Amino acid sequence: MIDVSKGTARRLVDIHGWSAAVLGLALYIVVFSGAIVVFSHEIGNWSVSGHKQGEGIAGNIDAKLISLAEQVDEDYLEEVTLFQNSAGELITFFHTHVNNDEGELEEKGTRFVLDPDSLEILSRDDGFREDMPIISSGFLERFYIDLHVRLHAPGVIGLYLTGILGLILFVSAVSGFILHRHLIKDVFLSPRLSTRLMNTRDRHALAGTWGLVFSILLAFTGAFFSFATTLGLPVIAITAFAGDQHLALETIIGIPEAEDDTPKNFVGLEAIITNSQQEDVAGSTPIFIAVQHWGRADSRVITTHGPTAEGSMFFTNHRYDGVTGEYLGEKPGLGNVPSTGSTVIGLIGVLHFGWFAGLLSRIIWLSLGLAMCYVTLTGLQLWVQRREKSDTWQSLSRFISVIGYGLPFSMVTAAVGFLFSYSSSEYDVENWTVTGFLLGVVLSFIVGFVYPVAEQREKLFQKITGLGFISLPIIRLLTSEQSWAEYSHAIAVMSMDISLFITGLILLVLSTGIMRAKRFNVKASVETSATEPAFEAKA
Amino acid sequence: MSQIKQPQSNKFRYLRSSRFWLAGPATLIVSIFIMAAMSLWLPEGKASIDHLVFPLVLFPLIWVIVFFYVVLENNIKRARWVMLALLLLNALPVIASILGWLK
Repeated sequence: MIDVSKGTARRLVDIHGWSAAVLGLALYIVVFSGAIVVFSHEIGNWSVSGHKQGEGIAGNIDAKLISLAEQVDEDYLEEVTLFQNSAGELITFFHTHVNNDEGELEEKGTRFVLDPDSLEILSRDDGFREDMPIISSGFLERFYIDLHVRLHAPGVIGLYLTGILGLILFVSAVSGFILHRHLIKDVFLSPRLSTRLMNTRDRHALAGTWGLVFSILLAFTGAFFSFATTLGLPVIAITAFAGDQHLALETIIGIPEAEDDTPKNFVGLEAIITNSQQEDVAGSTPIFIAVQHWGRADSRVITTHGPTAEGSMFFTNHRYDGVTGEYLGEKPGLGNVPSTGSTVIGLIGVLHFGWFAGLLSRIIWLSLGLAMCYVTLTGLQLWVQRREKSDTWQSLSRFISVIGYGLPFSMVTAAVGFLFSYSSSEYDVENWTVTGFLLGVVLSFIVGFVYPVAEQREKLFQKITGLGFISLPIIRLLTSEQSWAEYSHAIAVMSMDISLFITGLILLVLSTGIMRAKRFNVKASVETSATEPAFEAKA
Repeated sequence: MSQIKQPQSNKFRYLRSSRFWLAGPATLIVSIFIMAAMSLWLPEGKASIDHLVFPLVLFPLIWVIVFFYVVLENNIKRARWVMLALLLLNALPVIASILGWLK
């Protein structure tokens, strides 16, 4: 424990407690959804029952792209992006950058969604990127990511909200660290059974100690992602670029070379992709491609490659001449030449998303994320248990289980809405996924208010959430029109099915109450409470 | 009568505390100015972007450090002076840059 005066300790306890009491449940939503979207790609893949067949980005795409380029407005050839989503569909966006009605610079162009095998156009949309309809095949994954990134709040408000919650997590972790009395000892703490209060306190301390470094790391990197473009970039632009945000962003990303708008044929992507797959270049198929100035002498192609098991743990970018196809070397994530700043940003991404050791690190990130959810919920339980005599706090206590169990339950019902609508009518996917989520929220609140006794309420939540998890692989199987055996090649789908089934079973076992702790020793509780330090009892 | 009023005034006692205002709005303003000023004095690095990237990366950390300084400082008078000094030290070059005096 760091030595602090009694008054300072009391201030820290107030900050630690009140910040969590006011924003703890919102923080829980961000942390829980964040832990789940560590596997967003797998969720997206599972939600459409595995990749669609076809070579996709690594196939013969040149002829199709050239024909698409002839169908769009000439201005939209300023930049062309291409990637393959979790469902395997190819998405290409021919666009330019213009000011929208609010005077903000935005991407405007034509977006095509292509079948990865036949390259048939599945959909075509024109206009500003923000106004375009959702791509139904990746919507469940997008829905979960948006819940984590912006709590589905519009525009920059969502990013500000999650940024503030990131700072709250940072403050809670640091104040908890300063107040903590036995940091090393508590790693091996066995929660006391003397009273419910002591038991909750010990469980909170135990999980908090294990997740301390993780929570500081995630809070720091998460707050950076939320504030970098919404607050930091405008401030830096005002200070160093006379308010020109576009110039500030361009400087950070890398000042483009001198322009040359002489018409020249675009070289095509197939040879470039093949070159980038060589071991001495990136050694993998690009996950994202950007073509700048298609059909001009100054055309450049940037291929982006994900972290590889045996190669780099960072994302890498490689630059090619868009007229000759010549390899121009690796391009740093930021700036035109390697720099400390670019490496640090790469490291922040790796640490926040848990990419540094492949699947293993992502499993650890999921586990520690769930541990942080446990810390948040036990902290809130501790807060209301210490206010047993306050009717207001006792009536508010049911929100802990309503949100605690209601969030995973609503995410399950959102997935049910997605699965049914995706199989029947892709145009209704957005409506039904959102409706499924809202139905889950409403049901959770009904359970919360119909069952006033905490134990009964939690058991029912465990039952319905458990059944929800078990129902997901069954619904996916029924709606995908293929048998389970046909997914033997799709490891992500099989793994997700099994994981959902096991999670459901665990929740059903928990709902029977056989794992619950024995009754607490009332006599011992009085004695132990008396030994608690004053500032803890007041928290 | 005073006994009845006591709990209500306790609820909002923080609003009358200068530490509350220092740790809240003042910390946010000082942190933003520190971030902005960093872009003026940090070395640019090989790619001429380090002085722009590091302030963005360090902003959450700056906010937390300033926040905990204000919370942990026992002498509130000193905290006020330190915050004022930090504000002036960082706001002056930022304002000078905005007005174009640094060119």
